[in-house]
Amino acid sequence: MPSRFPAPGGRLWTVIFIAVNVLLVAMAVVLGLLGYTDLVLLKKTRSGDDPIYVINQLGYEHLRLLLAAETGAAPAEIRLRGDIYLNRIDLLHKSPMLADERNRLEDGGLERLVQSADVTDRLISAATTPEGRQALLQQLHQDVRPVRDVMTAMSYVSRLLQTEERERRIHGLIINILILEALLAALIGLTLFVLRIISKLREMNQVANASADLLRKNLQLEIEKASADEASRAKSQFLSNMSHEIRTPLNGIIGTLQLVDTDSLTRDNKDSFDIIRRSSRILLQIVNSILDIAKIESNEAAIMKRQFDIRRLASDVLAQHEVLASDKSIDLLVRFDDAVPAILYGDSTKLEQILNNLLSNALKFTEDGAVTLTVEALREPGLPNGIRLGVTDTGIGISEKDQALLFEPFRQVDGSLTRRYMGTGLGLSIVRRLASLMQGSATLTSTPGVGTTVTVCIPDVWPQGLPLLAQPASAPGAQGEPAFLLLGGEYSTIFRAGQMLSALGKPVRLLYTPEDAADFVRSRAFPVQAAIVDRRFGGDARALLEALSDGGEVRWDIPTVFIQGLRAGGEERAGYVVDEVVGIFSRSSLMEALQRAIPRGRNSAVEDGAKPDAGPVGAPGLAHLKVLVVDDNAINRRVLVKLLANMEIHASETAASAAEALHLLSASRFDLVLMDIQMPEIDGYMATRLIRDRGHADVRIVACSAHAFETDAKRSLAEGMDGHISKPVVSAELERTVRSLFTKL
Amino acid sequence: MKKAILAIVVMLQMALCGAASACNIAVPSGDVILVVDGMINACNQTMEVHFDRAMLDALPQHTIKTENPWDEGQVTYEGVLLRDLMDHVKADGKVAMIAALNDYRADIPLQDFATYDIILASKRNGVELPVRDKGPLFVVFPFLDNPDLKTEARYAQSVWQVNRITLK
Repeated sequence: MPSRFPAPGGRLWTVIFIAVNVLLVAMAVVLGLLGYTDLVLLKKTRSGDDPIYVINQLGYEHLRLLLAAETGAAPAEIRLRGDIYLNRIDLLHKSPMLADERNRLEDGGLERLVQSADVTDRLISAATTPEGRQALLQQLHQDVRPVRDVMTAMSYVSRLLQTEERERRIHGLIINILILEALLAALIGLTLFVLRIISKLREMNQVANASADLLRKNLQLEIEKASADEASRAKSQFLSNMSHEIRTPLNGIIGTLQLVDTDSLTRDNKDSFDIIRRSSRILLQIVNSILDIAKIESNEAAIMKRQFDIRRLASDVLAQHEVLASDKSIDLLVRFDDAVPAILYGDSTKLEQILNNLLSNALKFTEDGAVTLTVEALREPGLPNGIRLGVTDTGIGISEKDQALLFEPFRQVDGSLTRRYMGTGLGLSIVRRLASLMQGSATLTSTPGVGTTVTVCIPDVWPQGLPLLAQPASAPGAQGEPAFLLLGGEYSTIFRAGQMLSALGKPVRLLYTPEDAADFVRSRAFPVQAAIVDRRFGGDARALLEALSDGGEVRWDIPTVFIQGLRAGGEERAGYVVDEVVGIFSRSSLMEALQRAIPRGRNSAVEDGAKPDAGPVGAPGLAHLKVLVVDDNAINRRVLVKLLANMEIHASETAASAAEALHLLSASRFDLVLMDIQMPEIDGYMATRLIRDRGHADVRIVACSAHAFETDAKRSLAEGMDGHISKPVVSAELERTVRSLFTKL
Repeated sequence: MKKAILAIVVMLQMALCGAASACNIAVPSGDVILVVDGMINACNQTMEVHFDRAMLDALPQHTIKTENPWDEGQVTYEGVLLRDLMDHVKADGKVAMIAALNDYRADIPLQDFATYDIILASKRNGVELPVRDKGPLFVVFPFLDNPDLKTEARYAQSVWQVNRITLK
């Protein structure tokens, strides 16, 4: 990492080194100069006599001479004192030591004294006589004032000079101190600067080291993550490939199993056959789960939104689990919030996958009790226009500790559970991933021994522009037609019955509680053709209905079909015809029961939709269809033809290639083409384009692909196809798809 | 009265000196210009040695070239070396107190006389020193040969118009 500071030995360091040295040398030079200057100054300082003493001596000797002359001293004594006095004058006048003082004297007092000194000298020599002495005394008296003046002036000047010198020295000292202070400050500043650079450098090094460490760690993490991602992707890819490879032979197995005429089997063989069939379905589920998770992991799963009927979707999913629920004597309940719109806009395939996973999980881990599906409108802020799917079971439950593991792929709470219940342990993981693909969430609450609730919230599935309104599943008497009344809407069987009827365009009204039923009996709010009642409604539905009668006007006299009953056969009850549907019912068995229950002449509505001879899985309006099955695999062709025959569609032809299909299409008219996608030479997409190009715009084309990816489904539609089903083709899915294409006509 | 006292003093001195065997220095004949007293072991008066100019000139003479704050430039002084003078008067003690006509005084340790060629000059540049110009005697340090002598203390010891030396 590049540092803003140069490494030691860099240019900045050289500059600093030079600056420090220059400063030190400067300090040494300045100190030397100051010292030298002081020394010179000191040497120049006047030394010798004390000027004040010398000056004072003038007056002293003047007075001693005056005294000698006045007291009549000997002439020799006067001469001696005179010479001493004159010596003092000469000193003041000539001594080099007093040159400064003399130069500063302003008045000419000293000069006048020197001039009078010559006179005094002569008078001293002449003082041998009383007259001479008198003259000397007179002169000396005259000199008193000049002597005093010279002394005063010179003392003053001397003091002045001393003061000036002291000030000069103080001034010099101050300058010296200032220069030294400045140099010291510069040195301290430079030292601080260097220290700061060093600390900054250290800091930079630390930061650089830290960031280098971080960078290295991040890089390592990224490499690890990349290789982990790569490994994970490779694993997913492998799983995906393997799943495809397994699905192809499974396709053959399941397809062929559907062709076996079970009626012709012995009882033992039939049991064995059931085991084979169930096992193969479980195997398919497992493979699908793996494929699902692989798809999600490899980010191949795409969201494909379309309009769908959520109640119908729920009904279809529930139907797939009713067999198992019935086998284990578990109640399969469903409850719809009325606020959920009839038509939603979202990825129905993924919702179906979610529901399938949740229901099969719930059923798997529940030994008795009930599994309840609730579908509610989401009103929480932040999840606008959403639905909440809840699946609650009364199963073994999951401890809090294990709950966290559940959403992890390939994780199961207990290895022994896997063996006991079978499965990949992928269910919840798939649910959560699918939910988050749709910006939703999946949460789990569970109490061991009590049960588990998995809640999935999916936002934004209202159709565009539709407000959040309470919309009854089917408005009764929309066309003034008497409705079918359903009691016990919580039970999936009743719900399914309602779905079957409304799919036929019949008005349906669900009553969830005994109180609702009682209200209806009293009010007769709308005309009713017949009632379908769950045997478990209100505990014992039969007893409840008997109890509704007050013996007068208010009584239950509606043609009634009980479902999920234990015994078959109708019976006449006071005022209302009763029929019963036992176990898992089909559309046709429901219609038959309704026909039996509704008195002759009143059942026209039922006869319209459900002909008694419609077959076990009645497919009204489909028998006339002419279908072309295109597949390069002979087994697949056979399976599809047989499945179509089960739907009463017998006018089927097959083609082993796209070319053959085109030939047949040009020869005769077909309603539907089931098109394999992966074929040699010309694949299903290309074949579809060719069919459309040749003017067969009205023929419906449904793709049959082993690639169950949404991207494939999307592409199928983009390529001009009308639908998509995944292999192995299951009769229910085929029927649903075909019906959705042709019942709209 | 005054004369009487003086006569008594002079007589006393003569008596004392005569009594002392150390009084071996000749009595001056001219004007006395220097009196040495104090701790000395020689005398020509009572406990003192009096010198006239001739007596001093008779002692070994020493000439030094020197400079000082009171003369312009270098000058030559001639006179007796103070250590010779001290020997002459058989000086004892440690310090010589040198006094001048105007009562100025300065002490010089005898040790200095041994260390330096300090003279009691009577002539400058061959001319006798008058009283008006630092005469009759002037303590002169060899400042030129010993620059470290150039101190305030030495200048203070450079006594002129010397007329008495007292050994202490």
